[in-house]
Amino acid sequence: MQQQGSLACVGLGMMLGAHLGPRARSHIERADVVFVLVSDPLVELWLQELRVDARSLQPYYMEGKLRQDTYREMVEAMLDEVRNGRSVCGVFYGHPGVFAVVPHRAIERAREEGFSATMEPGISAEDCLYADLGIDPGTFGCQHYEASQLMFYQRRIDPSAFLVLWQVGVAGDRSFSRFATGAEYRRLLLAVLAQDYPLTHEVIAYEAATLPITTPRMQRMPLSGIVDAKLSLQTTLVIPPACAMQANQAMLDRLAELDARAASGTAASVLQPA
Amino acid sequence: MSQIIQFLVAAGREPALSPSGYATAVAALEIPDAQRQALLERDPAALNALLGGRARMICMINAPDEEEHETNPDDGDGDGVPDDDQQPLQN
Repeated sequence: MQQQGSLACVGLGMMLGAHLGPRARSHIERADVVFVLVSDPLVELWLQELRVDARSLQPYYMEGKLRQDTYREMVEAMLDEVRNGRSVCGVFYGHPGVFAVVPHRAIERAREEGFSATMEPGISAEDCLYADLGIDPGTFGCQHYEASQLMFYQRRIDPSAFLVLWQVGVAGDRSFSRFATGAEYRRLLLAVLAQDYPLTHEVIAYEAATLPITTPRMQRMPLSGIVDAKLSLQTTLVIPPACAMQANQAMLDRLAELDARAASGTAASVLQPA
Repeated sequence: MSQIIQFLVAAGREPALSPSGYATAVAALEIPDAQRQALLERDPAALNALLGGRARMICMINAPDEEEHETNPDDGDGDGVPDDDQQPLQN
């Protein structure tokens, strides 16, 4: 049985005033309780003017505190109000479902407990980088990894496709409690990437514009430059393809066989008397 | 809504605003000189300081591992809510 109380996690988009969709706005305006987690302080001020009673989730972050604990507390803060029978709106920068464990987990938990829970998509940093960098993920394909996850696990990178690394500013942080890792950690990330890319390969440090008075950061550098580059929590590392796609000749041959069989079948059916 | 935030919202909806149009729009605002200067210089840090926004924003809500840790060493009373004296990131 559906219980009273509901949760909507909505995306604000990246840029103040530019990306908020009508459905997300409606949730923000109508909810009993609004929680906010955004990446720019002026965007937070804007939200707090839209809803003076909006509660920021920023105080849950603390250097040295396990991120998993932070995330669990954020989920619980929202769910406590849902359990109190309130309609709750969680407002997140970008898209609430892209590299965002908190909204996903909150919605999952709310549904498990019998509450109505929905997600409204927003314009993500990924969407902005496609527009700003002129990248179409359909041209060569596009892989997305959380930077630390790429280091912790044995993943297979396809260097003929784009590679986008998220949270590169904390790459290699096994403590899950820091807001930055340094050059030594990036050197290890570089070692991972150097297995598939030359050190001179051009990469792009990207940060979407969050205000209409600023421009996106699109800093190009050789791959080896990531060790000393300014890579913050906002930075996404974009690595363009380093080699051409290789034809899968065996599969092409099998497809040609199928095509030939289909063509001869069609020819046979055309020649067959009615 | 404050004039500056209102202005930023309007600017966010107006991608074709020329540099001269921007300067004219900023000049028309009834705001303190320091705020006007920050807008003209397109200096978000200065603007934020003048408007009293947070000095530091953390923007990651993803973890490389799905596993959840049960311990919470930083929340002394175990209520899951950060204590007031444990909010160094808030202004």
